[in-house]
Amino acid sequence: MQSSRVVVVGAGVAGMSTARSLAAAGARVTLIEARERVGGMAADYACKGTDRCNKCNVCLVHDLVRDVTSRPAIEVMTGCRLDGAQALPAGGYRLRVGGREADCSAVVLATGFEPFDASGRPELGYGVHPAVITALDLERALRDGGALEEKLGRPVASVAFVQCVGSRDLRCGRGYCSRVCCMYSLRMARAVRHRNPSAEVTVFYMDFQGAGKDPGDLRRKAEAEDGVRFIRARPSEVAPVGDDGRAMVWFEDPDAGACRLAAFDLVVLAVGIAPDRDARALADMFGLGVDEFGFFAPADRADAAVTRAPGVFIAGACGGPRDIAESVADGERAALAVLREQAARRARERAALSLSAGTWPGRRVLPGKPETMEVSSTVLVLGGGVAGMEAARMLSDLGCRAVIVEEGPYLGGQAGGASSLLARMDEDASVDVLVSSRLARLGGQVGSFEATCEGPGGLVSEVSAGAVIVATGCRRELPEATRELASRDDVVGLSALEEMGLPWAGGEENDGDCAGGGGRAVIWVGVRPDTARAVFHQALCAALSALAAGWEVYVLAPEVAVPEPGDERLYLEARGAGAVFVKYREEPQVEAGAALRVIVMDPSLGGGAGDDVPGALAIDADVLVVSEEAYPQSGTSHLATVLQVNAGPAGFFQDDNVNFLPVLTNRRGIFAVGGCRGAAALSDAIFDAHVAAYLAARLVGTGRLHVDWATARVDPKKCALCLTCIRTCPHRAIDVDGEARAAKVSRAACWGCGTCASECPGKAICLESCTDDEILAQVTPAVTAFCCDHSALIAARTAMASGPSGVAAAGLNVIPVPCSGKVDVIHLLKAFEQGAAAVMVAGCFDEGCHFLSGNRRAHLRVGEVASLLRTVGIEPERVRFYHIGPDMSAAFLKAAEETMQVARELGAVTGRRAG
Amino acid sequence: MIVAERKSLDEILAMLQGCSRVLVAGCGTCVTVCMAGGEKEVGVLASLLRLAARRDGRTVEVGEATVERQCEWEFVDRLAPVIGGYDAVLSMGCGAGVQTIAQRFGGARVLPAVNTKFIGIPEKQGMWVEMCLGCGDCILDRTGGICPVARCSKSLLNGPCGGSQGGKCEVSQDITCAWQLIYDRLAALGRLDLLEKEFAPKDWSKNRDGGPRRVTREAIML
Ligand SMILES: Cc1cc2nc3c(=O)[nH]c(=O)nc-3n(C[C@H](O)[C@H](O)[C@H](O)COP(=O)(O)OP(=O)(O)OC[C@H]3O[C@@H](n4cnc5c(N)ncnc54)[C@H](O)[C@@H]3O)c2cc1C
Ligand code: SF4
Ligand code: SF4
Ligand code: SF4
Ligand code: SF4
Ligand code: SF4
Repeated sequence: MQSSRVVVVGAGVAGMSTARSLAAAGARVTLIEARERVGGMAADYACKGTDRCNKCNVCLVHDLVRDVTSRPAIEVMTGCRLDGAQALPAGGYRLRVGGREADCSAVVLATGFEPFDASGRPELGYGVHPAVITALDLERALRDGGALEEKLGRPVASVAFVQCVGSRDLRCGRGYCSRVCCMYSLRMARAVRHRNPSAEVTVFYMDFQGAGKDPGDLRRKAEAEDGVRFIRARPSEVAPVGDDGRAMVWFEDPDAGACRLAAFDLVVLAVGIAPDRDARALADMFGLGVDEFGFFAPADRADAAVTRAPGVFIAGACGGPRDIAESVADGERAALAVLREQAARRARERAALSLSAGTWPGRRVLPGKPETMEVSSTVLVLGGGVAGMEAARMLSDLGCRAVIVEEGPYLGGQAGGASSLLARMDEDASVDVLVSSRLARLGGQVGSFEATCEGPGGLVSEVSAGAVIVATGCRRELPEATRELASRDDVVGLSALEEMGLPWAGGEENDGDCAGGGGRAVIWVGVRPDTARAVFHQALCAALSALAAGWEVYVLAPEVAVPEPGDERLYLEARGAGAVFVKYREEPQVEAGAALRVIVMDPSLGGGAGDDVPGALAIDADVLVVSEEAYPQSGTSHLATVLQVNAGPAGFFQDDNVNFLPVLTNRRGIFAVGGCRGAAALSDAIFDAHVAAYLAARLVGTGRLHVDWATARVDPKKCALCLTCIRTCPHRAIDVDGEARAAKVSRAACWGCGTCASECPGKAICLESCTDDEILAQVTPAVTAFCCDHSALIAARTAMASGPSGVAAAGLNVIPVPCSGKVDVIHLLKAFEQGAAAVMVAGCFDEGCHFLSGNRRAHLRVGEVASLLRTVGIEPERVRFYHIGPDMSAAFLKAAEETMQVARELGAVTGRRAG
Repeated sequence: MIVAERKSLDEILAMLQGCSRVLVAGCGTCVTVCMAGGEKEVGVLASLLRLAARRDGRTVEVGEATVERQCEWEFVDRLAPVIGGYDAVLSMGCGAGVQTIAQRFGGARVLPAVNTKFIGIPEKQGMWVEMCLGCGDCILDRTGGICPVARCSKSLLNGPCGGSQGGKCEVSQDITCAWQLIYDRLAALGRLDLLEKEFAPKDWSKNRDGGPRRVTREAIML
């Protein structure tokens, strides 16, 4: 019999995520890792949190490590390489791993990447000048907190980041953008400034590649709050100068139009992502394709986890540059692909997966028998665009019924949708469609949502659904500045281009008055940084097609966004074919008379030296193509209220919190995919749809949900129905139970943070995994630190393990809590009652809380306790709140030291006014 | 519901001078909902009393007990087994609760830990506002469902007064003029005609004028 075991090669974030996801879906998994520890590259990185979370995603690694090492279904083998593979006749492979042989049904390669070897650009002086380090070196130096000067052994008063080292560089054979380095440098720049507030930070860059929900905000903050200078230049050389050991950076100053030199204490090379050196051998072992740069190539770009070798899948950066969040999501996608293939191969019934609710950040398992509840395996899909239809298709493949609710009169949405997909929606008996309908009300909780949909002519349909996928897309509209041009014939929206007919397609019909027989096109991509990567591909394609028709082409954009695979090549191609790219700082002006004239300041036409006005370029355009900006659909905030889900930056669905990427919302069982959670390229929207369908199916697909995690419970006898918990639960997991006349926690929907228990004025709520009695039993007269499981506790453990000077030796009493939101005012007061001279609470950064707002509640409570202490004449500084990232053991030590210092200085709370 | 607010600790400590055994008694109804005196607040106050004693080098024994409603004989009866051991009972119930306990346990020294403030609602989580004065002669039918007795700073029946500016009351910018609200509401309902009829002077005999009030329903009496 064929082994059903799945082998995952590489325990970086992608491999760990794949293994975790497969295990949650009931598979047995072996995770092979060449190094002696799991975690991959990112396990060496630092949390870049400053006063708040900077969304670097590094803390996701800690959750993954904890999960894969604690799940019995996952066998972890470290220090092992994959030495050979032989395909088995019945499918699957016999693998040789460290001298052992093992059979498996499928292999997921998650072997990651290698950072570009910076000595491959000798002119930048890496390995020669001690002032030159790589971003990887800086990650390590930032880790654990502590003084940077000490760790790096040099001053850091002025720091330069040099971007695109080993990326976007044909000289070293890397004609692609590494996608992650702009954002990591930005975050590191902030982290450096946070450690050394007087440091001056300069970033030498080509184009800023935004990623995440609100990259523009991060960049603005870096510029405005941290004074980070962005200079658009690619330094040609780094040389040491003088005996102060500083490094001189040679660059072409875009403002002066001349070569300049600047000295820095530290030059950080933002090394890019290169294929792993063993990738080629692994590709040969399985007969995989690799792309021109050496990354594993999927058989079909639309399904990036599937390779041309049967039973072999890929996840993470081994398939091309990806950041951590993308690699984690990639792991889900790979798990989905494995399970689908296996279900198909075994010709089993659909819904062959053995499912459990899986996992989420912050889950604490409840020992004992899981509670099994009947759930509906129908999934409500809001929006019948491509993402909604893809979700429905995948749900049907996974054995669920999908009900699509589409507001418009037909399916298809903005992109229209491939006819095969439309036909599938039509034919598939597991897909029902309600057009001209909208969701009016949603009651219930995950597993048993009750949806009321209003259709044409006031027709009302009730749908019972286990989960909801929101795929309502976004609204694309010309940016404010160009909106009044929209009615002109010679102004076209980028996404409407194909539909309207390419203006340059007709050749002679366009009476262009320009050379080359064609006309002159201006393509203006002036969108927000979070939108740019979703539209730039289209812009480049438009430019190339206009060039091919013999037109002159100008592309105006603040940044050239090319992180998507292949786009750098298209960009170079377009430039090679004569397109002029103007990276402007100030918005271009359009003079719209009988003809169009676009005026733009081109910083690269800075005139001669001494001329400080950038050159103005006036372009008489036959056609102006303007990329649309993405806005939330007009009904988004109403829908958010109906669904009780949160909106994030710019009003799109989903909080700006790394723990919820890519498709989770604050409520279990409600997923947001594609444009409704922010501007998304079509491929991203489809990716989202597949991941969400998979997660929904894993949750409710079998019709049964096993709740094996710890939740809150309300004692109805003590509940006064004050509604506090219902209003405060970040996950909206509590409803009024009409029969019991009390609040009731939906066990399926509860994430187990304990926030409600610590807000309830009646002390009617108990969190099973961490009861008040359990907490109080741990309170002692020692200085106490309440630590969140996901952040400070991890840091505390590292700090305590790190030697005799550790805080444990000094007698700090560390009390773990699932979320700092579980720490109640009473717990803190009790600690003082017991004799603690000082107490600290440590949780995640703002916007980094695994339960969204638990840390904010905790912070507020600490403030309240401080003022309560003051009322009894006790020094308020005895109670303290800290934000501590999971890898910040030094920060933890510092916080603990500070707290213990307060305790020493103020002494015990006792008898000082004795009388 | 009845909205209350805990007294300052200084005031409470002054009341408790000389008491070394104190029972903090909570109520599980209104004051739980308005977060002034439910089980949690009992725990907080008890802790603070112990801490204050610790600070002063005194010893104090603080007990905690919360009953469903302090304004019911049967519920306060549940305090009977413990109450004897204390020098004082610090009730976190509203004034009715404090008095119920005092009446039920003649020998106990019962002290109020909260100030009973008003009949109101949580305007939002963490903020309560007054809605009704219990005047005994409700006129909401004529005022668009907005009470001028409780919500007009001067309890005017024929408002607004000259101090209504931009919808705000002259007493404080934080107070919305009740008469502005009444006018807007009636306008929206198309019932401005209701304002054309003057209110006669209010019959305060239905309020405190006739002494403590009483409501009786024969049919329910046992
Ligand atoms: C300097 C730098 C900083 C970065 N900072 C950030 C950041 O702040 N935020 C962010 O989101 N992203 C960041 N990234 C990107 C991030 O590193 C990647 O997204 C992530 O590590 C990809 O995860 P992965 O699992 O695909 O690969 P990896 O992390 O590379 O893991 C692959 C694992 O596979 C193992 N392996 C390889 N071959 C074999 C084999 N044959 N047998 C067994 N095991 C094998 C490796 O030992 C490794 O443990 C950064 C990248 C760089 C270069
Ligand atoms: S909390 Fe997490 S995502 Fe936020 S900065 Fe720290 S490691 Fe990065
Ligand atoms: S442009 Fe691309 S390769 Fe260059 S630093 Fe930014 S993300 Fe990296
Ligand atoms: S917070 Fe407590 S008292 Fe209020 S509704 Fe919830 S369980 Fe009931
Ligand atoms: S607040 Fe947290 S513990 Fe309470 S019900 Fe909501 S998710 Fe569960
Ligand atoms: S009119 Fe009297 S009873 Fe009616 S709401 Fe106002 S104060 Fe209360």
